[in-house]
Amino acid sequence: MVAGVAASALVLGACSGGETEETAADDTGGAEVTIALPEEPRTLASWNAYSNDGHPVLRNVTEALLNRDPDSNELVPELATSWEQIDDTNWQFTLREGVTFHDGTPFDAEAAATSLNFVLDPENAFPMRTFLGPDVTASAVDEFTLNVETESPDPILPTRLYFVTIPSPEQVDDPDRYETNPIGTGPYAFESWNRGQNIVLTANEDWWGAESDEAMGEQDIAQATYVFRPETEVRAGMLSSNEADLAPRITSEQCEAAPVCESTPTVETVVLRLDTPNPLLADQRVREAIALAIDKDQIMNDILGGGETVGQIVGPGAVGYADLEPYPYDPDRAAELVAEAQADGVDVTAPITVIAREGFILRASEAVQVIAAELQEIGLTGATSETQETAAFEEQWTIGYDNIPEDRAWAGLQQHGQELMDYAGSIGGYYSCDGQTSAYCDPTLEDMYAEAVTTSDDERQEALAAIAEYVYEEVPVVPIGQPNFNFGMTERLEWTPRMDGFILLKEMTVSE
Amino acid sequence: MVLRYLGKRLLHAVLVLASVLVAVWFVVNAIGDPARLILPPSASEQLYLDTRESMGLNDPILVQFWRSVSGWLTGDFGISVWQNVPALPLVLERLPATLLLTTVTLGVAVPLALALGIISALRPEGPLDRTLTTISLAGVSIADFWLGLMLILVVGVHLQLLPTSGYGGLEYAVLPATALALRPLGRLAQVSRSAMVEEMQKPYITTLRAQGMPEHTIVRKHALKNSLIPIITVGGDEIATFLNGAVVIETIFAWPGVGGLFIQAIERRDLPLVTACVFVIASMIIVVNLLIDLAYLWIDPRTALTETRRRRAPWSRAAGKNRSTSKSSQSPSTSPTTSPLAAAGGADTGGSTR
Repeated sequence: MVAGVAASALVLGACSGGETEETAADDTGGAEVTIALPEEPRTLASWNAYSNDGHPVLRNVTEALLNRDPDSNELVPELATSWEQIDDTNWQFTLREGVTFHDGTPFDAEAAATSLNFVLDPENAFPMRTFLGPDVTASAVDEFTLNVETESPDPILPTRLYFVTIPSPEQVDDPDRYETNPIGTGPYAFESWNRGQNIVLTANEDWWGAESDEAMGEQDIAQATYVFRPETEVRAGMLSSNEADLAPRITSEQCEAAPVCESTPTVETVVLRLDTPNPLLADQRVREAIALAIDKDQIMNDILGGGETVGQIVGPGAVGYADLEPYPYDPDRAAELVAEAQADGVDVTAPITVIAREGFILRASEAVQVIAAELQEIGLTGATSETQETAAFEEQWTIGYDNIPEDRAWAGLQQHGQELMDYAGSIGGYYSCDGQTSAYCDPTLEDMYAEAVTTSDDERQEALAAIAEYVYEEVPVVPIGQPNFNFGMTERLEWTPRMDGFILLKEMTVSE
Repeated sequence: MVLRYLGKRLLHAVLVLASVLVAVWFVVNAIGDPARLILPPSASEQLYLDTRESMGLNDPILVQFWRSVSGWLTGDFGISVWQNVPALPLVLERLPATLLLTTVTLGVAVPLALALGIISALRPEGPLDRTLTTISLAGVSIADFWLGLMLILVVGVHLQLLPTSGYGGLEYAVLPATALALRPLGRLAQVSRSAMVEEMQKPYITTLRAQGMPEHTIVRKHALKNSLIPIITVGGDEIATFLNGAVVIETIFAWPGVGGLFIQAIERRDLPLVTACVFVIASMIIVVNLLIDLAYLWIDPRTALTETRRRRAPWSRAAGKNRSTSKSSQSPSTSPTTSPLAAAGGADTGGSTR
């Protein structure tokens, strides 16, 4: 019987296999573009996919209360026209009037509250929640005034909400379809998803931004097709063959060969995190030696495809950036430090594993080999390198300080994204005792951190920069650099990449 | 006889499928805690415990196993952890692409390989044979991912004759199929050459020649059919490889086949999806094997007979006298092993010398 089912599947498959899957484009007169992404979103539920593979597509469908000005990097209105902090824990947002979701549901404070409470519900623990600090509750004050209350003071709530997009309450209500049918207020509405092949978005005719300068964009593009090409060579090649207009995340060589190449620093940094519970890596001198032993410029520019070295795990755009001089490449001084540690009885020949996640950082496997060799040079003779596939790596990477076994000595090469552009998030993740991705725990730092997160504006900048200086000396994480992101484009596409990595169709124009 | 043979094969197939699924279930449940895999890393301990409870992971293992088995019987393999939708339809969605690529690849490779093999076999060790053997060796040796990238760069990007990648009409299948076809082409050409060479040296061919039968008729009517068995065996093997997924080629060309999905499911520890992939792939391979068995039967009807005879052998020995009249005992080359290769030897001999 089973074989029979399979046999009929064979026949059915053979029949439909030859048909063309291309969908005919709506003839609305506007331009069509194709964007070749490295990865297909796993789901179209923005709160599940948005934090990783989904946002290049979904940020065009759903919008947030706030946006960032691509030039000044300032927070600017999107679905909220203005906002103010009422008291320590209450914020009020005045919402834009005359906005409707793609399904016709009017956008008002009630709708926004319903969706935000769902998306950010700690019970649901959606990945979107990771951009938030203290728990929040949203409620409607009147038709167009939204109150957001935080459980404890959170001075950067607007910064966080800039990353939280608002789906239609109707979508949220329909669990059977919400993974496949995104509904927002954005300039582009979801048209179709052929799994494994493409996602098509079309211009939303009722978009509020068509008549408002505050939208910071236009609908010059009538239809966008997203295709998924994991191979960078193919993504880049599709530009020359005019099969794609935009190909993000290609190597600098491929970008230079593309018809148009845009290269920009982003909110991402490459970092090497050290397992400080390990006796060898617990020694500050050894950690500093590792920071000095690595030729960070070589890693960034000869292996990882271009970028600036940094002295901190966030770049200049972030609040709390301290403008620290990156550790120089000084193997002699590094060797001295290792020798000092050895003289004090530290076993510097113990194993260290320089490790990275496969496929995430381009050429990570080469980078970890180089770093391991550099560590051996300075006398850390137990250094070896390894790469692991994503799931296995993540399982061991995000276990938190308390669960890192003492006999593990990972120097983990990872890319860290500070999308909120606020250093506090990076400290919480990478340096605090409770951080999911932290391999470090230090009472002094905990105190400074607890103090800093309650501040805002200049005070916050100062408090966070002080922490940056503190961890600079302690080096639980070695900042390697801020990689450039390379975007290859065709001649007809006009677009400047944003620092936050958003790929917004409304910021693109097409010349025919 | 034939029905009995087929029935036995079918039963065998179902047993294989069942044991594959059972093995996968236990292996997959041994590697990780499905509740942890479903939840984001930031989930609270309470949420984790609740999820375990609601997924039934606190039940005894046999209860969990039985639940999965009853799901399988109704085609329910659970919800994909990664994509949050039922797993089996996700796999079936990919099936047409895999079948199209397999069909195009083998549709090109098999006839071409047969032609090359026969041409080579007609004058073994001649200059043409040597050239073709070199070509087929090269085909087996070239790495498909390298060839794939080269085809994309040369044909897709520079000449712009065909789309570089993606899925759509037949034109999208040409490059990936070409990259894939070279290995089965080379392998099958070599196998068909040696099978033909061997066949053409058989005494019955000499007899046919002595009777004045034209060479092309000898090849077409007698030698070719007799040499098909090893070719089909190797061809079936190649089909199975493709159905298993031409993962690298699928990835490079962004071809939405089952193999790519399977690998992604494994990488993401998506247990329901892995199981559904295994089910679909195993089913297809079993179907292919059944078709091959049928093909053997068509080429050499004694296949069914020898199978049945062997099964009866232990307790029908006493009645050996009856067996002397059976058809198979007339053939000198029938071996007690039922290897189709061995049985292929004299398949058509009786008829052709008549």
